[in-house]
Amino acid sequence: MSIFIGKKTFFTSLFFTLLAFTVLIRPAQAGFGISPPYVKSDRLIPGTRYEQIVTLLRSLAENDLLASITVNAPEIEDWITLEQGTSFTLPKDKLQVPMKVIVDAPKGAALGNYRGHINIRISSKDGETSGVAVVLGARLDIDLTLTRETFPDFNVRQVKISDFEEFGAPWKWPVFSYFFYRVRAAIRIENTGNVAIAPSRVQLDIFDVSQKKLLETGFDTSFKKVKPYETSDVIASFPTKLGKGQYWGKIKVYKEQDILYTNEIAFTIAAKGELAGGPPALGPWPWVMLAAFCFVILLLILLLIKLRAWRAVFTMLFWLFWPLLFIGKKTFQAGRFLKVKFFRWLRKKTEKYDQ
Amino acid sequence: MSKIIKKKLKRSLPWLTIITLVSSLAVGLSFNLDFQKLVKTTVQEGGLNLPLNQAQADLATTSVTVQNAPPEITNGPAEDPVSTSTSPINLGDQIGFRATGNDPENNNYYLIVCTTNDVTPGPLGVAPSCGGVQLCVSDLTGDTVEAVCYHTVTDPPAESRDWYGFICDNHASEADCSPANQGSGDSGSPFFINHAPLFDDVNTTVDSQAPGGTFTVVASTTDYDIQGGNDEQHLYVCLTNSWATSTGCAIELCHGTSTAPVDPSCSFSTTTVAVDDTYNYYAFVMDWHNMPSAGNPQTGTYTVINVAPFVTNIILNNSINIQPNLKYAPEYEASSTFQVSDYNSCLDIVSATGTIYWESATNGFNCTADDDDCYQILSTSCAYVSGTCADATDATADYTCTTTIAFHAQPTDALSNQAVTAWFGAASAADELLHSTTSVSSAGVDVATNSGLDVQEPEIAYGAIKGAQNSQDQNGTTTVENYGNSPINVDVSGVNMLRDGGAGTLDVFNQVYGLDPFTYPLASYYLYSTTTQEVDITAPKPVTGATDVEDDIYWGIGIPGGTPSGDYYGSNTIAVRLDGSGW
Repeated sequence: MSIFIGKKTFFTSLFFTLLAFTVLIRPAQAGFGISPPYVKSDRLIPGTRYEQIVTLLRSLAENDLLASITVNAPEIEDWITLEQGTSFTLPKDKLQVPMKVIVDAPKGAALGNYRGHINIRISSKDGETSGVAVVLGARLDIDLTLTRETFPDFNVRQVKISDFEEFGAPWKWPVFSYFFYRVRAAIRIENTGNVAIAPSRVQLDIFDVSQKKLLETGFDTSFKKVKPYETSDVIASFPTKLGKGQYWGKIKVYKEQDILYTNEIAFTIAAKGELAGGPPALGPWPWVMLAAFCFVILLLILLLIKLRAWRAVFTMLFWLFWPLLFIGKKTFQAGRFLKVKFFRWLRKKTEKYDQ
Repeated sequence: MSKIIKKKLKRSLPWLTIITLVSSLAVGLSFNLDFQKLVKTTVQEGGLNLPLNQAQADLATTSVTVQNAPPEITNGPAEDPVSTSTSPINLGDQIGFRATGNDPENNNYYLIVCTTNDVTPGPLGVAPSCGGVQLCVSDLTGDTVEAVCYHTVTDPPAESRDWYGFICDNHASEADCSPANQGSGDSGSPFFINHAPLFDDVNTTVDSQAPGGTFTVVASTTDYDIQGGNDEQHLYVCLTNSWATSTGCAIELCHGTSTAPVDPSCSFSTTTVAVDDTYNYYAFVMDWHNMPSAGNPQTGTYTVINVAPFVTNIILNNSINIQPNLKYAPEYEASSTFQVSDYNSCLDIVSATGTIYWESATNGFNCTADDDDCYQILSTSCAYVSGTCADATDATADYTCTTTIAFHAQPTDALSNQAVTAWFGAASAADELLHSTTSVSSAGVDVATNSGLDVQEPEIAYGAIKGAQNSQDQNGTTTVENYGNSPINVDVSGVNMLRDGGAGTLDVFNQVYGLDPFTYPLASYYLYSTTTQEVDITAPKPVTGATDVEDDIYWGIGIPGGTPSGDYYGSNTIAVRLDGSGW
């Protein structure tokens, strides 16, 4: 009996201990949130698209959850689409899930401010249980202003100058190196305006490693434009004649006449085959160019054959090389004359010695 | 033979004529003059004082001995090479003397060069010798053939030395020498001697320079030679002990020239990238006649000092906005990459530290660590990026500092309360001794605004309530905690509750709620399914993870009369929203 009571007491104690543990120690909660909590543009031009990534956040991602989206923006509901759809899964182990909100402002839309919101509600994929469950969600405010005024503006987020290698043949030939042997700066542009934009000019001053001697200066003014609201890299390239070594690139990024960004970046030109990680890929263009050259040469030959102009070609070559032939002939004669003189002199000496 | 006899006769005729004339004169004089008073009349012979006429009474016959005539110098003597005051012979080098003679008897001869006009023909055909110092004597040389002898210039301290050249024949019994001949012009006496400069010390007078700096080395030298002007001295400073007067240093640091008595010096610069260390060099001195000093080489040292590294091109979080996670989730990892350059080479860089900070943080990058706005990243969290430092000639290496950003970090994006500010990265680096100054990234990034929450209670437990009754003052509670980095409110909505396992509905508006405990139905809000209601909870932006920012919502429910008994279930949605006025 006493043993039985003891067992009961034990299990009772265990139950309350577990209960206390469960109650007193806060379990890891599955919090939910969004970032940023708004979709906002105050410079949207009718007929353009605005995209914004909203990140859905969880504090714990032990299970798949279902996100249900409701757009509540009476005037502009048709403008708004969600790349992921209105119902999608927040996968297990993903604490951050991006959701792209796309706003296509119609061309004929009236200018002005439009507001609304998007409700996001998450729930277990297994369905609701008994009782009054508390379901978490988030509200995403929409605040769009349509305007016809253009705002060309951008930020430079970063600039990187890649290390590269010296070229071997045939790419080191000037006809290729001018186009491909270049210092390349990747400039990350964040278009904060509402029209496509690129820097008006990028200047690169290349100094020696001591940063005292200016070696080269280059400009680039031709860039692929970055779409509105996007952030992407544009490449500025500068032909160079520098060889292996370490250099400092002082870069200036211009927006119209203003210098928007400056930085000093060290980079290295390695000897061929010595760049750690291998040389940066040149892409197909050098080969395309080489193929084009070959094609043009072949075309010329075919043209000559077609025109039966070989005789003219040979005549042209003869007159081109005639001075060389003359010089060669005279040189040969002079050599022969000297040889004869030498052996005559040798014979005389021999005869004298014999006497 | 007849030719020889003819030649001898031909040569003897003048002498015979002279002797005949002299004899006739003597006879004439003796008959016409009284020599008794002019000449002595006695002669000492055999210890006796005999009258002269008596003593010579038996030598009255006439005879003559034709002696060997000395050779004469027909060409030279001359120095070879020619020495002048401006082109002397280096001490220790050889100087040659050349002369051509003609011996009347066609004897072979020697050329001998002495320091004084004193020579003694050699007996029995051997070489002559000098009364003073003999500089050199040639081998026996055939008549009219150029004789050459060489003298190694050894010990005279003077800058020039007179010399006298003689040609002495090798006559067997009456060897004779020509009169002294000192040559003429530059190739004549004296010959000039160049002495090596004395070189006993070298000093780096401008030392302890930064990489790329200019060092000056001064040699302590002395050169007493003044003939042709004070000697120029050439100093060569070599990296290795390998040098020649003709080619200079194998690896030269510098060379310089001075005119004695000014000590020669030269300056050199190191490469822009040079390891801080003390380096040996070897100094060599020679004069302008390419004569090296016996003191060569003197060794010295120069010291490249340690210079502090410096940091450039800081890129915070790869220029991507920082997106913190929610509370209790693993913190967002942010990084800061940058280039560290050290002119003592990238191998000299020991560590780097970083700061990721909100630009309005107190003291900027010198801020006190605070998860809300300032992250000081220790060197243990900053790592060298592999492969970015090639070798000791490479100045630059890349580093990355990493930290985690707390959920409540100050947001700076467009709708935050600090939209005009941003977060920046700063970094510094150190070598074994010196720290760099701190540099800051050119461009900042934003910390995104998070609006997040959690409700601690998974459900609202109203308990068991009879029909036509309500929860009275027994409120269910939901605790809303702010999990983000912005002040929040909540939108509350719900759905009708359904009876489990059968028909029956409890309309959503039977539930009421408020921010304070209440007695049903005196709550602030009725629950709706069609519209959400913003509830202005008190949940400002958290500033620390240690304190929960939370607020309670109290719930009550009324059960209409006639509601079928049973368990009802439903769900109420609590949605987070930014409290724009709650910053």
